[in-house]
Amino acid sequence: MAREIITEKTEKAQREAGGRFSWTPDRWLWLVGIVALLIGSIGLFDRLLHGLRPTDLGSFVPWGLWVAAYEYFVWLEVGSLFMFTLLVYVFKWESLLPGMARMLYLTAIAILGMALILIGLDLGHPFRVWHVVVYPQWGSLMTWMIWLHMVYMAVLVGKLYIELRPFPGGERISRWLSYASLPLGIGLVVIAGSVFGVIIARPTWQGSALPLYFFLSALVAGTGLLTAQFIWFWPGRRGEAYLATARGLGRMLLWLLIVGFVASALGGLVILYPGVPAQAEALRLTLFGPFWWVYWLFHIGLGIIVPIVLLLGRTQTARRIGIAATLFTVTFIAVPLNIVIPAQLAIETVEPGLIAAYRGPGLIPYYFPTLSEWLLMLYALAFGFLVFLYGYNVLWLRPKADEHP
Amino acid sequence: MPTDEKKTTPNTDVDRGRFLGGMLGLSGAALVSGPLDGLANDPEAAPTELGTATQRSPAFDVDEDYDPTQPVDVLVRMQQELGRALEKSTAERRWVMVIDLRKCVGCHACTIACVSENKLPPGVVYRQVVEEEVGTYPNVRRRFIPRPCLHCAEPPCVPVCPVNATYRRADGIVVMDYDRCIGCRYCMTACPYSSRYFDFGFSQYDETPTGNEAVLGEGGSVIELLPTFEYGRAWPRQREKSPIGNVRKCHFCMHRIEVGELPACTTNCIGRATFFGDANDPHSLVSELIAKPNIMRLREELGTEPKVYYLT
Amino acid sequence: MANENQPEKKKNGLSRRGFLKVSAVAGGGAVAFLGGLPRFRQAFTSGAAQAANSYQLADPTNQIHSVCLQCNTGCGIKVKLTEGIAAKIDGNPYSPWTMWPHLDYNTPVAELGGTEGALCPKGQSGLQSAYDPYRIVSVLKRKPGTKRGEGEWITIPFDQAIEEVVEGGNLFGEGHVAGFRDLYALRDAEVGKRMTDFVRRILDEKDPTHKQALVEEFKRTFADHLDTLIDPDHPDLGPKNNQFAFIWGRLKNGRGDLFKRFVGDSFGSVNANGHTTVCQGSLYFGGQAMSEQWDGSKFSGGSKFYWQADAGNSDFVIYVGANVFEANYGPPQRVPKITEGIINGKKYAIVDPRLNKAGSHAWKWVPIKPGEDAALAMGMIRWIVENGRYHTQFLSNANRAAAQAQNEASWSNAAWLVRIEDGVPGRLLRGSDLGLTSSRTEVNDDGNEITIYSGQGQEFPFDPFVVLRDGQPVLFDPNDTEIPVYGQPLVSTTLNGIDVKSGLQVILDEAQSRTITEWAEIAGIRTRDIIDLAHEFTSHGRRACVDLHRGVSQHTNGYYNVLSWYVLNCLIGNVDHAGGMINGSTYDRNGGKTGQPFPIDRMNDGKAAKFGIDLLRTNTLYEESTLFEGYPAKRPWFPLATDLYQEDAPSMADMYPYQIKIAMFYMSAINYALPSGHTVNEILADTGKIPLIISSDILVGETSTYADYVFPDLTYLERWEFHGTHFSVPWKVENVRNPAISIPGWPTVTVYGEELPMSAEAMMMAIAERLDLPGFGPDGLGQGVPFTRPEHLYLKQVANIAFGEKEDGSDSVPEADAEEMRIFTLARRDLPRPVFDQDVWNAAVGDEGLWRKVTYVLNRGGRYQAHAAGYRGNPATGDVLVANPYGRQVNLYQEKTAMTINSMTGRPFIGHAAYVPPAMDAVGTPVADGSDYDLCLITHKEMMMTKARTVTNYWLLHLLPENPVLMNARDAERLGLADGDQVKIVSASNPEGVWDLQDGTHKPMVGKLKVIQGMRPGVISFALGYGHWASGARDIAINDRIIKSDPRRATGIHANAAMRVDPHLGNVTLQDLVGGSAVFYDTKVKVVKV
Ligand SMILES: Nc1nc2c(c(=O)[nH]1)N[C@H]1C(S)=C(S)[C@@H](COP(=O)(O)OP(=O)(O)OC[C@H]3O[C@@H](n4cnc5c(=O)[nH]c(N)nc54)[C@H](O)[C@@H]3O)O[C@H]1N2
Ligand SMILES: Nc1nc2c(c(=O)[nH]1)N[C@H]1C(S)=C(S)[C@@H](COP(=O)(O)OP(=O)(O)OC[C@H]3O[C@@H](n4cnc5c(=O)[nH]c(N)nc54)[C@H](O)[C@@H]3O)O[C@H]1N2
Ligand code: SF4
Ligand code: SF4
Ligand code: SF4
Ligand code: SF4
Ligand code: SF4
Ligand SMILES: [Mo]
Repeated sequence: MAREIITEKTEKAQREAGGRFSWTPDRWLWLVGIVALLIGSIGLFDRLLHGLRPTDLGSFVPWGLWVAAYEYFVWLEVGSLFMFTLLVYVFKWESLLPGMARMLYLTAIAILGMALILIGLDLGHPFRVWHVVVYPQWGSLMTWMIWLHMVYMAVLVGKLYIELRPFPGGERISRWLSYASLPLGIGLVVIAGSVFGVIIARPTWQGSALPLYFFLSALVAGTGLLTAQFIWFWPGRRGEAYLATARGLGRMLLWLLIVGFVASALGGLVILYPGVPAQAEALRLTLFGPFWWVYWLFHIGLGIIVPIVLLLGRTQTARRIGIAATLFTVTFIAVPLNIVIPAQLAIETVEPGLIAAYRGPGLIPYYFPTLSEWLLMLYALAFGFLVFLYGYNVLWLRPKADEHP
Repeated sequence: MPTDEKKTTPNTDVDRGRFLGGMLGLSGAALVSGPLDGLANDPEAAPTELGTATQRSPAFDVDEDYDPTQPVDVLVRMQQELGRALEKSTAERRWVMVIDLRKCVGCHACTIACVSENKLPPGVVYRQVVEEEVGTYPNVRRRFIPRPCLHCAEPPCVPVCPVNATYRRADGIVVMDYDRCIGCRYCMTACPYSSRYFDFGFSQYDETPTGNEAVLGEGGSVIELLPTFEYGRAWPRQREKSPIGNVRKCHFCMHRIEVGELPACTTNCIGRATFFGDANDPHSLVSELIAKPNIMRLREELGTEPKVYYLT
Repeated sequence: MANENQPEKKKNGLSRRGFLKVSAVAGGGAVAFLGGLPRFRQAFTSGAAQAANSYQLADPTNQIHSVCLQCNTGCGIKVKLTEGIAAKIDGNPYSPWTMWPHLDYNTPVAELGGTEGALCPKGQSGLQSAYDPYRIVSVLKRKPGTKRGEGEWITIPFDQAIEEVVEGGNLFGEGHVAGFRDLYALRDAEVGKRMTDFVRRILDEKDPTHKQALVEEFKRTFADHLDTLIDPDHPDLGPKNNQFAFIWGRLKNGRGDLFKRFVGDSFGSVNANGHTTVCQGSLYFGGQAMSEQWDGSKFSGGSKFYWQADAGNSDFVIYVGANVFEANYGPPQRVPKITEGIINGKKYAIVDPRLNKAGSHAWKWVPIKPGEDAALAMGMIRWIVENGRYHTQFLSNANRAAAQAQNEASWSNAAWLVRIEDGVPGRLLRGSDLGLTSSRTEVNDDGNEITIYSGQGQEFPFDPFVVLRDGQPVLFDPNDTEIPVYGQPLVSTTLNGIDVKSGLQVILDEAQSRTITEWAEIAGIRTRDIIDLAHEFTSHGRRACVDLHRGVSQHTNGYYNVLSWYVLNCLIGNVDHAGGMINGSTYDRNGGKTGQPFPIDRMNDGKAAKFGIDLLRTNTLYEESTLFEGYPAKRPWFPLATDLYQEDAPSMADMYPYQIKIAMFYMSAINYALPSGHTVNEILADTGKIPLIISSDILVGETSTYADYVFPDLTYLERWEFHGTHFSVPWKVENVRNPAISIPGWPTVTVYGEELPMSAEAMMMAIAERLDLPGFGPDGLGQGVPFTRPEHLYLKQVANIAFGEKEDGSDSVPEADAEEMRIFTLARRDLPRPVFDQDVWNAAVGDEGLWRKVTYVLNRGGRYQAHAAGYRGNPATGDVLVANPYGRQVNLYQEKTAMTINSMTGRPFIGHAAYVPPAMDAVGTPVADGSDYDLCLITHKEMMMTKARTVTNYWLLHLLPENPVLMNARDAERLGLADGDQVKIVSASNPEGVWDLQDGTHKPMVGKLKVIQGMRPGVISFALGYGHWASGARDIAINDRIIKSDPRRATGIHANAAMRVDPHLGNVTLQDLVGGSAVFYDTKVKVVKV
């Protein structure tokens, strides 16, 4: 499994020597990214020109794909760094992981960008976001979430800056920033969960379960992302140490997966058992509603069962773990979707007859993202992807094989 | 609960001398309301002077004119009481609504009154009337339950707002500050009664003919462009300008109350099933009604303390 | 719009062109709000218009009081304006329709800016009718080369359109079409008068040979004028002028006075009829027959009306087929009174196969079998009479004097004796029948011979009627004001060898023909329902009432259902009593009372002498006419009803009694509204049957779709009308509809040199001008009194109303003071001159003082009697009468009806309340469609929809975007159907279940099933107002450019085409030959899943 280690210098040299333009893989990636961004910008323009009309959102389902994706991105962004910091700085796990730091920061920044695009444009008045800074309402968890996210962003930017422009003492600052990011990350994720948890109005949201669930989700999703990134991007020799790290991550992922799965299954049973009608309805919608396949095929099938099977297998190759981690991480978006949307669809159980009483656009308990919403999502993804490419290729924010704590 | 009433009230130019009680045969005198707290009063802005306004003492009591053989429409009584309440400061009033389900006939007049008064676009509604059928043939009944915002004393929608754009006023009205609201829709998810609606900017006239001189065409949509006067100020309907992009909700027709008019849903209640008034006034009709044994509130168990009561 | 005058740019108006351009940017497409309307922007942003930034709708100078016409209830409205645009419509607090009690009429308008009454959702949505994008603003002509119904139009200038319809010609490249001038044949009123008299002689001649001879003599006498007749061999058909028929759907007075003057007095056609029979015909004509008065020689002068409950004072009301919470006349006015009763322990019952909304709060819901209402009434009559729970005194009062003596306003003929011949009740018994009178002839003051009857020490100018008192016959005059006569209400005996019964006995016999249980079985209800209702009904003195509406009347037996229920009211003697059955009354707008300023009817120097059998065969007896050829007649004749909407089109199709060459429809959706309306489509589409169809409409509605010319009209918010009252309103009133808005840039036309807004009036007056008809023009209202603008008439009518009905003017309204005048003018500041010109208006009234009174009335949208003045009597004793009573005789037994021959069977009609089975065809055969058609189809109205009209109101569509087919869960289960299924309704006369639109396309009668409990099993219903194929529901082309339809207007189901076609006549719905009703509830259908 010998692989040539490409350094910044060698590549730049190659690039300069190359002379004639050729479609190198990363050029292809740039092209893909830019094309995706262009296509996605149709969604952006639609949003900017026509407000939220082109979405399938309404007054009974005010939050949709973009909000769910935001939560998903927050989990990834916080979870991966959290696990990293925890393993490397706190548990001092002997592994190759520390070398991943730069790239993880880059990834987190890119994901943060995606998250902010989506949540920003989800606002009815995106150009008024500054109101949150100027007129904050500290009683609102959303205020806290937004502020924490801003602080978190500052920490990330700080760390990245130190990575890019190292200076004496920078490492120490960076380390402290890492420590700070632990409670900040927990705070952000828990508060993001609490944004939902304090809502008595929506079945399945209310209570302390959701903040914890968010935290757990961030850990699993972050582990998935970390694992996948390590496995696919590790630049160094892919020998024993590489495999050991990969297996260690895989095991961790497996346990988290099982714990998470049991936890949510129990949660579901608890909801179904006493049969609070609205909660049960939300769950029923998740499990057997029009989008049952999101839950069963996407989330449970591809996202849980397949990865568990892969991770349980006798011969744990890195590839196999990588596939499991990737599958899991990508499909994990189903989780926030299923948290956010079905709870809102249960309106007919909460307020029977309300729908029939007055009809109009957005006054139905149904939601499926429109093309426009997908396009804006694509735009965000492309944007993040291009940020990543830029960081990876231009700023050379890549894992360092030689780094040890 | 952090509500910041003074600071965040939208500016309204309401002529406070406008409530007219005289029409009810009350010595032909117009009432002058007390200062409307939180409202920017601009006497210059007062439209045409109407009738003669005489200052009445705050202790003004309609009882001297009471004649049991001369019944009045409850609308009249409530409007008189409204005038009385307006002589007090905002904080001294406690607006409540009472809906008598025995009298509600499911006519939906209140819904449309609200829609037309507030120029609500498609998809926005402040007061639906829920219909349901109970029982089996031939022992069956239909029930009608009007559902405005309940103006909870402990409104779950308020503390969630990140920018203080929705708050409960001292007089109990849970209002919106359109200019402040960022449109995050958090308050919508937080309202247990589905009383909040987002203005996506839809139009009734997207599918109607344009550009043929033989028909009125787009000339007809002029009525949709008329401003709504919510919160006492004109909000012409303009592309992506507030209230488009905002969450909207029932505001007890504050703009009407301030000029001495009952909420639109109340005046148009055909069944006379909707009552509105000041619960701090022990002699008001609503005070009488909320003391009745058959009073109830929706989902009392949530602890939201709604200020909309139902008689059953 | 080449010819129309474009309104000049006004102070703050935009020209039409400019207006459209500006708003073109604003409306339509996804980007709906680009631009906006600069006028408003300016107004709300400029510093100068500071005030406009605050709520200005409470300012009386931004308000105009008028009258709603979203349904026919006519609630008073307050139109709130923003720069002349209607911004909000609320209730007029002066009007008893929107406040209870309504406010003091003399409250200054300045004080009521912030006070308003309640309106229903339709009333509040009215501005969407006025500002409907589909409103037409040019005259449309069917595109030559296309067929009627194909939806291809061209615009033509108004003047050209008038020229074409008046002069006729080869208008569509299909050959010559007769214009008005061709039909304006008889112009000489004097000749007309002589012809009329002659025709009367022909009709009066009983002997066929003599009749024929008279016809020949007629031809000789009028040899010079025979070309003016439709058919000289049948002079009783009248002149060719009659071949113009004017048919209206919804027409109120004022406009009605103008149009009827045009059609009858000026043009000379007898054919002007409305839609009564599609509405509640047999209720009206039941009322008419019950109110016929003895005029000394015959029963006549019955008013076309009916009674309704004084709900505000009733302790118990039975609403039968009356949808009081959702429809009726009407919710804002009636509902508060009922709901107030609910919480005060008063009761009401609902008799309706469907659990209507009122049923939800009712003491009892009786889900009766459709069409069997009389069975329930008969059961109750039997129980009440047998248990002696009726008001003996009221029923004994036999004449006016008796009523007066008993402190009653009205009396009945319950006690009058009826001759029973061969067991059948016939004529009323007369003194001479018993040999109690002697007669002699005298010459009266006018020089006419009259017969005087004497008997029992009295003299009568006619053969007197008889009651039995203490076993002795008593002769009397019903109108006598001096000698009270009382009779036994229940009599069955033989006098002088003649079997006689009292009127009430005749009805009791009918009620006793079955047991109460048998009646219950027929009605499909429980025996105890009948007894409970009867017991409760007779437990509240006179403060109880039966209130009827369409559900009772729109059956083939509608007339007898109506009579049966009204008997119950008479049994408790509640006529004219507070809480009983009452009648409405209005101020005389036509100046019929002495002292009133403008005697309108007399202000006409050149009335035409119209005569002849009318299209609907209502003004002449079949037997008398020269068309008589035995029974059955070709089509039924209607001696006891008028305004038979369902007979208009088929009579035109059959050209019976003659061909109509020009049919003009005004505000009518005749094909949509009628049961079996698809047959109407077919007739309207056929140019061979009706050569020229003109329609006045605000958009291309369902009927206009089949017209040759469509003239744009003003909506109710832009025009004048006197809406009158309704029978449940005790106060004397007149609702005055007057222009509250004008659509910016609305086209104007020039008629008699005056600039008028394009409107139905302008259309009529322009035709009158071109034909130089009398009754219009510079001397139209008499020498030197112009009638060149509609307001010339309307304002004089307002002046009459303002003046009141007392000769000395003591009953007139106050004069508007300076402040009121100021508000009046300011509120109308945005109305353009052709609509509002204060000088013109003032001049139409003349006198300044009178003008100020007119202003006073207009400022209040009408005139309303004070609340307290609505009743008289002593509230303490509970004996309260309405101040404006019906005040006449009530016929429980109708001699006139009993003497009238059914033109289809040759047998006389039944003259009293009776049980007659429903669902019969024109020759009296029961319609049997077999067990395959196992559901009874009925229909109802929903609160948020009016007829063909309000589908244009998008606000209302939010409440109910499509109407479902309602079915009981048991039926659904039996038929294997589920809630939400798409189902089609088919019937024996429409097995395809479609509307044939006559352009090669069909609209299926498919709707969404709603499975409910509140419906009698075996019955299904759908609400009126959906399932459109015009009014914006289908694409049309104007000048080859497509006007796209709006799918929101095409949803739901309109199942009228499933309603049974009369098997005998083949081209008309089932109908009630006595009361005239078109039949909506007697069809058996099948529901098929699609
Ligand atoms: N919302 C609304 N209001 C209106 C109108 C409107 O179009 N919409 N139109 C106005 C006009 S023009 C009119 S005429 C009035 C009509 O006023 P109503 O006659 O009171 O109203 P409908 O709904 O036509 O009434 C028919 C009722 O009779 C019931 N019914 C059907 N068949 C039978 C039967 O065999 N026996 C009995 N007992 N009941 C039966 C139906 O279920 C329904 O409830 O409403 C006026 N008001
Ligand atoms: N299934 C069913 N059918 C019914 C009934 C029912 O209960 N169920 N009810 C029946 C009753 S009660 C009635 S009264 C009839 C009513 O039947 P109609 O009197 O024939 O008709 P409308 O539906 O009032 O429609 C009038 C038409 O006039 C036009 N119009 C609207 N506004 C104006 C205007 O301002 N000026 C002019 N010139 N034209 C205008 C529009 O094209 C509109 O469609 O329907 C009957 N049909
Ligand atoms: S009903 Fe809903 S919107 Fe209204 S105050 Fe209560 S929580 Fe807030
Ligand atoms: S939508 Fe507006 S009012 Fe509601 S929570 Fe967000 S900012 Fe506050
Ligand atoms: S009080 Fe005003 S805003 Fe609230 S529901 Fe009634 S009409 Fe609408
Ligand atoms: S207006 Fe009154 S009676 Fe009608 S639905 Fe509303 S609350 Fe009920
Ligand atoms: S009941 Fe009829 S007239 Fe009255 S407001 Fe409603 S639509 Fe208008
Ligand atoms: Mo009607």
